[in-house]
Amino acid sequence: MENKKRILEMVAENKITVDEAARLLELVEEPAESPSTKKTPKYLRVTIRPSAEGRADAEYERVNVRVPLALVRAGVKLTSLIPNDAACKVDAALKEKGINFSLKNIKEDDVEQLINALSDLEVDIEGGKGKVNVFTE
Amino acid sequence: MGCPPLVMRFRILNDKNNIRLWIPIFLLYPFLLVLALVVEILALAAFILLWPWEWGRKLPLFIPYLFRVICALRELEVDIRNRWETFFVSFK
Repeated sequence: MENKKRILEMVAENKITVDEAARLLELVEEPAESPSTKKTPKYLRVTIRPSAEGRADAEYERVNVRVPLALVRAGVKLTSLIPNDAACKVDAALKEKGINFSLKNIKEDDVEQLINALSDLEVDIEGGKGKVNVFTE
Repeated sequence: MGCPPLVMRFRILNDKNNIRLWIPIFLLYPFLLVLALVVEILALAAFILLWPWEWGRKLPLFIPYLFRVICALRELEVDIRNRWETFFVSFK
């Protein structure tokens, strides 16, 4: 309100033109997007659509997966109950497959940060065989 | 934490199977509740016996955490199809 008054006063004093005032008023009225107003994503979506080029059956093919992110949170909580021995076996099995990942390293805070970071994620891969989209909503 | 899914839709279509299911899973919840109570009592007993071990102390949390996972299943949807095959699972 104070800013608007000041702009109007500047117009009255002929310090700025009406156009400039209009632009300034627009800027003042636009609410700045703060992190707190940012929406937390609810779902992770993965869609795959093949390209239709030269293929009649392409329109029947699709992958559409919607995973609630609450499931990720709940899953992480459940993994905290896995006994150490079993977790070590899982880690070893993952390592055998070339995945260097430890179940014990997953922390709830990290997952929350990851989910927040996912809100900005949008992956579009378009190739000769089709289009892959990964995004949150 | 929302409420658990009420209905599960399941579809497998290919040249061998034609399965289309609409499962009212809310009908299972009374039985699951009884089962959960029994398991929770056993978990509490194990909690007392296995107190010295860290894992034993976490045992009673199993049912609440599992319930959380079941609740989170709501709105999960997997739809994979091509001209000959369809696999579809959805929780509502």
